[in-house]
Amino acid sequence: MSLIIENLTKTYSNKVKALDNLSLEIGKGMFGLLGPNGAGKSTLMRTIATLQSPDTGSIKFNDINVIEDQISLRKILGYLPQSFGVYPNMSADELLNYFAKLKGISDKKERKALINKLLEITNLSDVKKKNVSGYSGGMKQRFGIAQLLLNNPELIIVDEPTAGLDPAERQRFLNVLREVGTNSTVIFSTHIVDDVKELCNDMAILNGGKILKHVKPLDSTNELKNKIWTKSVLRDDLESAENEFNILSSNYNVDNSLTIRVFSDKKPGTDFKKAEPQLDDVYFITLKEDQNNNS
Amino acid sequence: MFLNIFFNEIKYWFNRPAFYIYTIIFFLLSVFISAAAAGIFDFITLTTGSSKIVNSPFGIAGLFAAPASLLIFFYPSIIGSTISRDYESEIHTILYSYPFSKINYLTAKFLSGFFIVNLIILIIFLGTPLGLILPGTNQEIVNPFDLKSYLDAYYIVILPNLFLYSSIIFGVVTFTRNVYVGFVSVILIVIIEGLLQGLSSNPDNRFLAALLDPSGNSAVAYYTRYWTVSEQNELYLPLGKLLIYNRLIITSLGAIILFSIYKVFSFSQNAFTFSFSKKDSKRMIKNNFGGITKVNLPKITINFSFKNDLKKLWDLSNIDFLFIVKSWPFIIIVIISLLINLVGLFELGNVFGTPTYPRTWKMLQAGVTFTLFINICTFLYAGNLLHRSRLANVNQLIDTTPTPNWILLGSKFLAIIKMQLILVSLVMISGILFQIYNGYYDFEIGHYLYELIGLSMISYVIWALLAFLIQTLITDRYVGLFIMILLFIGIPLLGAAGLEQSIFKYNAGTGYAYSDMNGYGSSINRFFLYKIYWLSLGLVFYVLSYLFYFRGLPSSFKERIVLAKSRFKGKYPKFLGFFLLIFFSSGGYLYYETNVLNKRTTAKESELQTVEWEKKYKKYENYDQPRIVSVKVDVNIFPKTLDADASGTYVMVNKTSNLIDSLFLNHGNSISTFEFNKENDLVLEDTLYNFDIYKLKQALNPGDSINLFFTVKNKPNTTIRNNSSVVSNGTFFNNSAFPSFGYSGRELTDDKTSFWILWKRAYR
Repeated sequence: MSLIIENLTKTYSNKVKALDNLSLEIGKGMFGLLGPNGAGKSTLMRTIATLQSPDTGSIKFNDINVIEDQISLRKILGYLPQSFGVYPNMSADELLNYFAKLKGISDKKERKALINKLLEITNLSDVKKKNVSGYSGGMKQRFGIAQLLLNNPELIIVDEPTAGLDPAERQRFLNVLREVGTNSTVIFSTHIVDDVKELCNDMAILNGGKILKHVKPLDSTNELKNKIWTKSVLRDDLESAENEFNILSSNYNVDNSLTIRVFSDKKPGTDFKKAEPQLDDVYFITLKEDQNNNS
Repeated sequence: MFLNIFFNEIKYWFNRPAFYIYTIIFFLLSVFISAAAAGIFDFITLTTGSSKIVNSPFGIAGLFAAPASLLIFFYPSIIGSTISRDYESEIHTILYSYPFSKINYLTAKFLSGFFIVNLIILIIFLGTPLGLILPGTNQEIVNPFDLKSYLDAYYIVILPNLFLYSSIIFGVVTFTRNVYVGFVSVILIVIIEGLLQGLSSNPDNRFLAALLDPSGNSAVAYYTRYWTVSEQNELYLPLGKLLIYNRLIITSLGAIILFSIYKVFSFSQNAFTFSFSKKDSKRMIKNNFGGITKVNLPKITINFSFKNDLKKLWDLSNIDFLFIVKSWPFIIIVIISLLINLVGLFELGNVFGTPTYPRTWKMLQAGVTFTLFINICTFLYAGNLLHRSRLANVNQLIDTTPTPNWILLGSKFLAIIKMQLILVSLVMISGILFQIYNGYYDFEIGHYLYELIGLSMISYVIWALLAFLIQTLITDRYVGLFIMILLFIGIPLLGAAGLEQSIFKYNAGTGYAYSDMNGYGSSINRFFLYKIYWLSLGLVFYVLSYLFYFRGLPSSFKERIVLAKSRFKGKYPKFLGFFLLIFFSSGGYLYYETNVLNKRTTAKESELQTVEWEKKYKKYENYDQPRIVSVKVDVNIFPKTLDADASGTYVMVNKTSNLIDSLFLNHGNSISTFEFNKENDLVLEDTLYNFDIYKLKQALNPGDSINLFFTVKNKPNTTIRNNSSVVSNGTFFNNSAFPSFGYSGRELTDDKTSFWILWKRAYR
């Protein structure tokens, strides 16, 4: 059960090159696609989900040629876009029924049983008769999961699903995803590094339409052992510190001093403390290297 | 602040291609209308030209008002959209917390839209005089440019209506936040206008109509109704008391509406909606705790068989159908058209004052008022259905399901057909209700069903097929709707520009007429052939709609073309080829039958022929001819083949006191033979005018007689043309089948065809 993407390119009519000769191989389990806004994540997600066609390149899932034979992929696909609307004046029940019909579930009884179970899993049973257009953000995301699971998909694509969810919703969402991810390929695009850390057994960092790094989360932090240092500096000293050290991030402390996080093979100074490498560090380092390569 | 918002709106409009499209279209329309009125098409169609000056002040009011009244359909998308786009883009959630006042906001929005509409009217203002002086127009009926005529037309006829309608539509869209409801209110306005003008046809109501008719036409007509041609040519629009009052009433009404909008509007309001269910409120908390849930889904079978696909198609079309039927524009249009139809039914009872039975065919004829509404609904909802998932932003979910394009397209089309069937059945229901009301119970349900479903539906389906193609190719549903209305109104008008043959005008052709004596007659064959012709083209359009069906997120139209090519495989090329084959073969036969087998004259040729006829033969007008004193005829009528032939003898006597040496014989277009019992020479045989001149070897003395033995039979019939006067249940055979003698008038009269007669003829 693997997704093989080869040499994918896509340039929009406003001359933006969203995908730049991108190649990637994704196996079973949870795959995190990490990248900043504008990296090309959504374009990649939509292209795999058969909503967009690339200028060049190929995508194969098992033995389905996704670009030529879109319907075959759609039969086993579950897709949750970054934002979606719903038809007004339709309840969750009615709307799920509609989507279930679209996904090919023809038997009325089976549909009903499936929908009730999905509403239970996503905790929407109490509000299933209310119009989905009146749902809060979290409820709408739960509804999104419900429609995604209708056809028991083998390939699940979720695009920035936890952005804007409160902690309870986010946790619940990730849990459901974990449960369904054991038997299918789940591609999870996000810019929230913590999601990837908790969930994914494999990940890639994407920016400017290119894959910058493809690595398992655990391996990536191990690589950085003993190379991450922290120190506290005054606000006025920040500019000179930036020139001196390879700063990954800087955060304000309560007393208005800054804690800087630095990447260095050796201890950069006596007042530096060694820190445990985190996935955020991998992320920032990768982006920075790419930025340096391009400048 | 006001200027800020105002100029922002204007800039927005100047950046939209739609604005330039509307402007160009109205410019061309006004040029076309005024040029046609000034006779530019005289070389291909009937001569326009009477002694009526086309651009007299009275004439300008008409020329100017025609495109301006079409503009009313755009008020929602121009005036309404200035405010509705704040809601559609949801920018109002930010904007309404800013520190500007209600009055600045509302007046800026209203005036910017009003300004844009007036800009387009200015374009019409420029196009109309341009059309009048184009090369090829008849300058005899064009006066020099007179600014006051235009200004009068603008201030008196157009501006007050514009102001009132704009304020109504602005109010409707502001409070409902829905441009479509604005569009429906335009339709309502047009209907009310029509009703009021219809009222004024009854002399008792003219005073009231003149006072209240918002379009001002009744008030103008009140004074100009009996104007002579020279008054129409010379006088400016009469500022009679009623006209002034009417204009003041209308303008004040507009101002009152605007003031009420200002008073009622609040930045913190919600959209105005109807709700029939009681609202009960209770405190809602969601569950914030809950552990891991096991995802154990019940087993389902997923079925992609063809049989299941058809079931899916039907199911989905029901959902689309319910969407149409539950939407307010549809409900309003249904109620209005039912009302109008019932009113029309009550009117048609009388034929010259004699009450008649409400026969089913009469009910069906009255049902023709529905035609416009059914087509408007079709155009509106074709766009709504096709663009619905994108507008609701749910397309990303729907387009990734494994439902093939033909089902997604087909369910919408099927829903439109179901909608048309419902509307068409309203004709039957209102007809039956009316019949019951009049105590008449011979419903002829079969007849209703045959005409409504068997005959009229074909037309509606043909228009739907075109609407689907337009709304598939064009992504803005308002532009698509506008184009459909333009085609619907414009194609019949092409006849006035010289394009007379029905095979070149979409969905044109002959109609059908029902008589209780004769049923639909043999002319129905021709009707069916034209429908087959256009239906096959419509199906070609349907295949194209499938190829270009909008799925996913194509980034350009070029990409859509690539996608269309990739879809053009399997059975679709075969379908396309099949429909094209039917189209060209039926079209070929129609062309052959109309132009080759039977002579066809254009209206222009016909007019020229009448001129020639008069020029060539009027000199024989006063020649003496013998009088027919005895006729013996044997007529054979063949009801099954719809043929007739006759043979007979005239005995003719010279009842004058002069010698007659020439006989001028008129005969019809049938196959005939003529034999006199006195020696003669056939001096002239004019096959175009069916006019023969025989010179008698020996002149006929006064009192002498001469016999004519003749045979006559109709030209052979084709499957779609009956060349005889025999119909399936009787004949219209009379003495016009037999020859007559002498030069008969049939000349052109002085009152030549005016442009407005051509206009009216187009919509017959």
